[in-house]
Amino acid sequence: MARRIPPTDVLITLMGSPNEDDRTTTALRLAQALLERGASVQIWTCGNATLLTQRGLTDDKPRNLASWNSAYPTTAALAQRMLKAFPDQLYWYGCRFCSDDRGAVDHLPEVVMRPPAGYAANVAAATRNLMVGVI
Amino acid sequence: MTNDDWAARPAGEPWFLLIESQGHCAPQEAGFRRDAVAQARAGRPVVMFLVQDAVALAFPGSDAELDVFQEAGGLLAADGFSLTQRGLEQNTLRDGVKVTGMDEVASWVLDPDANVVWH
Amino acid sequence: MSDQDRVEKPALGIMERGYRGAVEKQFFDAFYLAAELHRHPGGLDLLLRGQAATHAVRARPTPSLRLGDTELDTVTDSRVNLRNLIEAGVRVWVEESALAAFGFAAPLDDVLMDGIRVAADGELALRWPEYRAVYFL
Repeated sequence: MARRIPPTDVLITLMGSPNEDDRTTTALRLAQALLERGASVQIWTCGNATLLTQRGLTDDKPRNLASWNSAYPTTAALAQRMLKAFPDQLYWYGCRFCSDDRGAVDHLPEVVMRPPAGYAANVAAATRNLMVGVI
Repeated sequence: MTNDDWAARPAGEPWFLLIESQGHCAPQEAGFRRDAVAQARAGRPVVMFLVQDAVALAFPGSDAELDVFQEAGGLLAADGFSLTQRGLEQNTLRDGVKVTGMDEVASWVLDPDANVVWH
Repeated sequence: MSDQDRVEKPALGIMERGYRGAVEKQFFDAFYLAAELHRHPGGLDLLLRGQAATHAVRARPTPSLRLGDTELDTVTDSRVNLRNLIEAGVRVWVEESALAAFGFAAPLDDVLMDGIRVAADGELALRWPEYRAVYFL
């Protein structure tokens, strides 16, 4: 039986590479603002954006030699915190094909992996789809 | 321009929210800005939100296409966070540019009359 | 416009960035994504411009690369996937001024792949309201 995708107000399809520009930052800022307004949001990562929620990132970035005791959360940790802060409002999906293609196969348990053919159902479940970045 | 001007849009009228994240570019790469001009010239209500590197275009003389866009009635908004990141928040903006943040952009995205295109 | 109207209209994909990883992508390029989007209700139209305009130009197959002892003959050949899109019914335009920037001039029939249409600058922008969504691919 096909997975039922909870309907949401907005789907943010995040495609571009992290660490290239502020695309990921902008997308997360917008997601936060939407959620704070009570809207429901899906995030679907494609391409290099599937790297964002890898368990291998752990909770903390590598040590900052210039500030040894400071904590710097990873994108995976931030995704988990957002999902925890907005239960039943925020949903995070990852493209299995893109993930496999990049060896990004160990996602957070909260991320629902989907086949590319399943993307249509996620789009249909959202009132609006924003495509951020290119593959 | 007052905030009331920004709010002056008939309810139920479709409008375009164009989100531009790219900054200075070669003329042949400025297609999205030309698309924006085409919408404005066609008389369609259109707001271009400048974010990330695109906030460089919020200043006078920065982009000829956006000059035309504004002359044709298009509205420009710029992301305050991106301006602050780049140390640009004290610089003089183009006439009519509204500095805003994600809360207002979220309200635009949720507007059922908005057609959102992200570049 | 009702939600039903939105679902049945095609989406418009606009491709501006070109060649993004002949070795990394091989078959899995933006045209492959476009094929998936064409399977969504309403299908997809596609506009090529900027650096992506030359994907529409007839060319010989992309040469293979020798890397180590491997002859990599599956480097991305965009025209293969673009041909597949056209055969699947995707309407594909290329912007005239983008071709001119690369030195291609009329008659463009001799230059372009079969099935590619030529658009004047801004021609498709005026048609955005006909689409359920406009995506940059």
